[in-house]
Amino acid sequence: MFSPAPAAVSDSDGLRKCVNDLITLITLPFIWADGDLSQIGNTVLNVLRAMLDVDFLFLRLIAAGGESLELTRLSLFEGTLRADQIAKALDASLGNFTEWPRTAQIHLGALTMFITPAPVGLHGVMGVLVAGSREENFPTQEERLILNVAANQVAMAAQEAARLLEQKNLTAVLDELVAQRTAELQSTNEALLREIAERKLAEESRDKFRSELSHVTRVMSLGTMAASIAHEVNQPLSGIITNANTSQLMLSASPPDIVGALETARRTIRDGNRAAAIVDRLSALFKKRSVTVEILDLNDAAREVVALSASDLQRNAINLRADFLTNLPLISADKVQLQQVIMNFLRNAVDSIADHNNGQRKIVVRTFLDDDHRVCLTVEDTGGGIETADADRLFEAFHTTKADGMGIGLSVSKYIVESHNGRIWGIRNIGPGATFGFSIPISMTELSNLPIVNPDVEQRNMEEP
Amino acid sequence: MTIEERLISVVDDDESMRESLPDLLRMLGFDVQAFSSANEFLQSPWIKKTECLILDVAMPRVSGPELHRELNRRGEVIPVVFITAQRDERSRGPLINQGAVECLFKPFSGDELRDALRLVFK
Repeated sequence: MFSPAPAAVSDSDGLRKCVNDLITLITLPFIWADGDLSQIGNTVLNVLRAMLDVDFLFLRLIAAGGESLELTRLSLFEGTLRADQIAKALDASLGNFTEWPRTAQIHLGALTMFITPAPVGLHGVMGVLVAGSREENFPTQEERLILNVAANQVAMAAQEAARLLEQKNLTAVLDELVAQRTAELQSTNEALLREIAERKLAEESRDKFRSELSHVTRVMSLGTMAASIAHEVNQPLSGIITNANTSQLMLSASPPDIVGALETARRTIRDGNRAAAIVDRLSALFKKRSVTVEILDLNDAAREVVALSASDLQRNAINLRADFLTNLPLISADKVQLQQVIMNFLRNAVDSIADHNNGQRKIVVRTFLDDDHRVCLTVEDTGGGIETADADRLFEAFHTTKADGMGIGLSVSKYIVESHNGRIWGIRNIGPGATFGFSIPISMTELSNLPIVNPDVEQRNMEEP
Repeated sequence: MTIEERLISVVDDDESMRESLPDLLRMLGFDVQAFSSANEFLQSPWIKKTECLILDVAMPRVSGPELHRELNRRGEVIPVVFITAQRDERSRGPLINQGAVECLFKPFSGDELRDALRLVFK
């Protein structure tokens, strides 16, 4: 509700009022701190309504994003006209609002309005502030001044609002970037930690595999050595047999080729010597292997060999039972060498069962103490057993009953066991199969040198001050 | 000699085999050429005349089976008898499947050799 201006206002009063109004307008930005465009618009229109004797006020603000905000203050037509209707009437009468004249007349219904538009921002790019009155002399210079100052204030506030919004958006973008980068760094960090853990695990398993592998190759070396001896010796043997065949043919020809036969005989001797040299070299290599004597539990040594043979047993569908004496006395021995003997026993047992289909496929590995207090290990199988004729020759080198055997395993096993002051044997079972075993004396001197740990004694010592 | 003797080529990196086997084969009535490696044989002019190849399995660089495959690839159809010092029955099957006539384990007897050659020149 606009109060009509007093009929007579002295110039000095008018000037004083105008200055007061201007100061009010200039202080407006202090309450627009948060850059809300609709708050800016509403505040400026409320202030102007109190200052100016006008019939309507119209403000159009165009935000940075292109959206426009339209606000109206009416006296005469309150409740009958809306902001968008006035905007339409203004646009229809005046054309593009950026080109509006400084003053104009428009018709709203039957009324003629004298209006004055004040552009917001340069050339009104940010909007327009319009005041309208039925008074013909509207606007006065003071009213125009106040409108223009108000429009400028709105422009500055809108600019500030846009800047704040941009800043806020920028902050949000930056925050997002920081959050994103933080997340990236964190996931990189996690991946690194994971990789370190994986690498450590891989290294550990590699080290474990290496030490297992070296152990396996040492235990397996009997078989490997037999194969390499076979290969090396077979080459010159082949020459020997071929040469002998040739000499035979040369001597039985008519007339006999004596010169040729002598030459092949010479080669036969040379190849024979070569074979002997290879055997010497290989046995020297075998003797050179260092013997490592340690105090050991034969149960542990046997358990490892059984584990190594697991796949061999499984492949041949053989059931193995370990019957180990608990608290078996310790012995001093070369663990790898004894494991080679056990491995050899197991291999022979598996081969014997595989070659002999009698239904039962069972191996029993036993450890026990004999009457002479020797630590014993036996491998009992359900295979083909031992021929009585073979019994005495079992442990002779190159004696074999296998189609592809070398006759080396048991002779080397005998050598190993005897170098431990032990005994080795093989007997035919009363049932099917055979049992091979060895016994090793408990070395009293070695054992007495061991530090004896008595838990009771240790306990007492700890309680003493 | 009116009838040209049949040529057998021996490829083996072992010298004693290269010395002894040709003599025995000559006594059996064949013409023989010996080579110390697969490449030596491949570069020789005797490939086309070779009617049987006695081939060592394990040789450095190009192995016997590799030479056999190369000959097959080149379309040189020569009957092959493998000889090997590695007495492993499992290796025999693949060699026979590859088209070899026989595989002899060193040391082999004169009779085994004759039986193999009978398979080639039947």
